[in-house]
Amino acid sequence: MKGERQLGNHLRAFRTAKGLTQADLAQVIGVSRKTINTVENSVFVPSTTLALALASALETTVETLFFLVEAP
Amino acid sequence: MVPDSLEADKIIRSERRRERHIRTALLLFALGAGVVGFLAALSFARGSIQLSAIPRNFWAVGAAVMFVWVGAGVLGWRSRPGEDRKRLLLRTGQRDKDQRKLGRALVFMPIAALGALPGIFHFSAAILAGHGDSPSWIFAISLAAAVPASLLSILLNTGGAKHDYVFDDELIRSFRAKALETGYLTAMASLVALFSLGLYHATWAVLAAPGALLLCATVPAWTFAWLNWRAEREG
Repeated sequence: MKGERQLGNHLRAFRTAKGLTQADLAQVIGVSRKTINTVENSVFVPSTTLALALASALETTVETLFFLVEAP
Repeated sequence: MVPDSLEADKIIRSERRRERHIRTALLLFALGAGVVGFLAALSFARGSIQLSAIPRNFWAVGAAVMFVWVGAGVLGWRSRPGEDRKRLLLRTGQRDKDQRKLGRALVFMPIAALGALPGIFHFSAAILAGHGDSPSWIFAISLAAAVPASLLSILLNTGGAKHDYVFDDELIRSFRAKALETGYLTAMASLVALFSLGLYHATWAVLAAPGALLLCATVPAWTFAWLNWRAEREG
């Protein structure tokens, strides 16, 4: 039986590669810094809109930025 | 993509202009309210006023006051916080600070509201014993309603445009949804408990009801505050 899938991300890596802090990225997208923080730590699953906004801000694609993690 | 300093200056100038207009509108509104209040007090002091006995120049004054009132309302409405204010607050990271303030307010307000419970209990007991007068009814009901209403007004963001930008955030909206869910479950449990208590002793159920109301408002408030605090802390 498959375990519950979770969402992983490379958000921190892409963000730091661009030299942006969480606050900078939050300001660009128009969300709070907490939102970026919780998405990075996989605590909060972003909506499709937010995921697309993040990918666009970091000049990448949603599929590159996020991935599914199968729970053991 | 980060706004440049020229745009920031433009936003700040626009925001300052808006604040001047709002202050003017509030001043005009207060002056109008003062005049109307004075006239109302005068009529109360003198007894009822026959409309036909009011001189024409008083009607002219009244019309001028109403005109000022309406003008103040229109000015205030046109000066309401708009996108400029939101952009300015987002730029300065004010939203995160205000979300933290919101979390703190939701923690301490229920504790402060505990102070109202003895008063509510006192008035309710007097009414149930048959000694309650009109002020007892007014105080008991209004205090019992005001406490949860003040908490829920924050959580449901009835503060209008001023606080819209605080809740205009996906994460905060998810926190609010979870908080309200716990509030709903608490309300159901409280109603069952009150019903059971009422069957045993009806008076005790009435006396316990304000406490249950406070609990139903406190649980979602503290749930929201906890989720907010955890999100600040993680990472």
